[in-house]
Amino acid sequence: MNDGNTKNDKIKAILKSNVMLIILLLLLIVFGIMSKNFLTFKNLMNICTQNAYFIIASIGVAMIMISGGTDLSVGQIISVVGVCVAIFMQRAGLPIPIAILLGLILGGVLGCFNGFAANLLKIHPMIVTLATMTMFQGISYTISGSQSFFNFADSYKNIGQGYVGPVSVPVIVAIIIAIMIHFVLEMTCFGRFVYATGGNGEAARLAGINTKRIRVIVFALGGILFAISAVILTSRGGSANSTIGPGTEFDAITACVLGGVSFIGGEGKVKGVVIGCLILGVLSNGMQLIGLGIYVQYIVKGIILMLSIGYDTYQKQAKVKKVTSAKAAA
Amino acid sequence: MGNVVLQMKHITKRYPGVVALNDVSVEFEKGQVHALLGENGAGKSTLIKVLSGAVENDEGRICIDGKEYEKMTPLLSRTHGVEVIYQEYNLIGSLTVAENICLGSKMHGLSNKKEMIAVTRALFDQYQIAINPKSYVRDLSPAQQQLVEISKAISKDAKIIVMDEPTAQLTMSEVQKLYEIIRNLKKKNVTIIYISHRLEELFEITDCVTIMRDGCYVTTVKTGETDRDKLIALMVGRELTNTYPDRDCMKNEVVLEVKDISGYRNDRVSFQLHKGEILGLSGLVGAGRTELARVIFGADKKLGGSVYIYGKETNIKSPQDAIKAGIGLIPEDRKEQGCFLNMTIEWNIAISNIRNLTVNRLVSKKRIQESAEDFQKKLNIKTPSIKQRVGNLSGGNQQKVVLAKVLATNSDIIIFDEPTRGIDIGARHEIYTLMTELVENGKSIIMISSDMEELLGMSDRIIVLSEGRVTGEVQKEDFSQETVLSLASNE
Repeated sequence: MNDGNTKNDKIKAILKSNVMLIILLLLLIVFGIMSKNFLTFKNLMNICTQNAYFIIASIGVAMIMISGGTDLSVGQIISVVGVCVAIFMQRAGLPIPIAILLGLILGGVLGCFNGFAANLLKIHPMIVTLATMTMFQGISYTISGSQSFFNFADSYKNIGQGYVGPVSVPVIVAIIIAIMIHFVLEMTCFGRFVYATGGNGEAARLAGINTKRIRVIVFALGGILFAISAVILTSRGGSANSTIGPGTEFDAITACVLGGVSFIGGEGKVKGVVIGCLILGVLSNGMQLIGLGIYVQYIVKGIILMLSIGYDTYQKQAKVKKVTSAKAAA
Repeated sequence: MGNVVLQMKHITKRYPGVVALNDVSVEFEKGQVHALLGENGAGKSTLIKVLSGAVENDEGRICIDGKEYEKMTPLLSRTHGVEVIYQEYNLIGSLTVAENICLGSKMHGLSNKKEMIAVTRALFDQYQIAINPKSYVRDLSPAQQQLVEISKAISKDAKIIVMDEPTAQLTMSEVQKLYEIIRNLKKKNVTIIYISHRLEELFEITDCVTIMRDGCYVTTVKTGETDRDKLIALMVGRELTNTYPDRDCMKNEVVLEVKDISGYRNDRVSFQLHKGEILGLSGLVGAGRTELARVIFGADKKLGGSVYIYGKETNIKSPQDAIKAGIGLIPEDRKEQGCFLNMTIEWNIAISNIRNLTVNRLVSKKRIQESAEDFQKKLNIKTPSIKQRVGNLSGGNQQKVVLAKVLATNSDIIIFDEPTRGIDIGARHEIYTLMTELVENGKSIIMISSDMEELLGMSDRIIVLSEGRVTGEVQKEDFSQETVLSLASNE
């Protein structure tokens, strides 16, 4: 009897801590029933490929959010890097690997700039990146001259469009990055410091952590990830212009929040973020397949976001209530 | 007995797994200051919450103003004139003092600033409170906020005011001010339920003391007919011999020397710290004690002067440097600066020392766990598991986690800023014992404390600050409250 109870409790606990995964699976089942084209390997791989750039960018945002910040300039960094890489290749005639490398460095530098500005001005990163978002947008359009760039070399396009066996290159890149960042956050001292900085900045500083440096590094790493996602995005689409990228910031924050990254910082896991991204991706794809228009999709996405986060918060509060009442009692 | 204004009869409150209140019956008389005394977790807060309607009792009845109720609700309790002043203030920082005081008393119509200010001013005049009603609450000191909070309760014609640790943030002179207000209220036949961990206060201000232990009512005694030791024994349920452990201090080697240190609140402070010494740092709130500690620790900017560790000049620019140089700081505000409430105990203990808990430069979960278990045993941190979130622990145990975090870095010099604030007497004793052990093992301690008893009991030597400067040094032979106080107020 008792055993049964604890078993039930265990199952409940597992269910509760994996709510988002369950939602993702439910979505897969629902769409699978509604459209026979949905649950095919090709379609699922397609969803992953389409969202690979988004997963990479969201992981970057998640890292920044865990450290207690937010980045609203993600989309514009993607835009700047996308345009610049195209120019490096086409106008400057640089070899592709060098152009990409420069792009990554550029992303890192833009991220660094965000981090330094936040440290120096002592303003919440959200406000800082709100400003830099506008700046980067201006930079992107100035550099591109509102032009689009086409006709990339095949080897560049291969990054976004190629396959290794049945798996697309973007998906492979996303998986590698997810594993790497997961590893960094979970297994290194630096990772611990990121959580500490976001969890309680002052306590972290007093514990001997150079929180300013952590913030800059996190923003720089984020910038590099955004640059990678810019490369994937432009190579997949086969064109680059200043409108490619912007908008990603809010989707990325949405995915992070869905995936359990705390808006105040100090909490979140790469696994959750990937699930958050996939939920959004599956929703778009599934609704398209069953023939819902784009505007209906927005409505449904909004509702799902509200419900899932509402449920999650409700659960956390219930937990807190239990704890506080137990504490009052103890 | 016609004077009884409030009776709590056979109150029982159960939480899953624990009985928070077990058949507690207490009577409160009109115009009395009635203390509730007990260790953390004795059930004082729960009892107050039952009275204010924040928590529903499972059994028992509450008789107030001659009317009997099964349960209170927040509204019901208000209408009977019960006002609770919690430890965490319920003031709104972005509003003025007057607006805060009148908040909730006027629900309709347009707010009238002039009238609010007039009401507030009248109230302040009556109790001789020198706060500008127009100033914003966020600009006030904690003590002033406390006064505003009390005034707010008075303004609502409270008949019963509950004060939960009202003096925790106040300085000596402000405590006197509070006493005055309490005496004033008493004259107006207001009943005051007074919760405090500081025993000497109870003798100063209360008429009777109800002692609770483990959710049970123990007894009620007249304050005049008891003494400190009896109260402690009743509260703890055993005799606590010797609150402050004895020890011999050998003054020899100078571990830390501070020369002419200036910070934004300090002006040319110099002192020495010996090996195996507990140096008390005294002063009124705002004297610059915490700020001095933070400057030495590199948490705030040093504007001048130098720090010598073992005779060697050491340039400390950040907490990182300080920890490397062997200085540890246990900050004043445990929740804001000390722990990571969302993280587990083991995580908290490891964070400062994480670089030493790696295998092949990777964080080793096993070593973190071992180190945490080690400290859990050493410091007697009471928790079912070191995987608990620190936010779930009681204040005393949280403080022990902060201690463990600092001890893990193996610092030679440890600065304790208000080490026992808001901690019950049992845990307090453990922290004292630990401090004693530390100095016996050759560590040196700087202790900042506003608790005079603790300061005199634990220190080997006391340095007194006033307005950011050292105004005197008191040797153990000359320890007395008067000496320290007169230096602190720089008279």
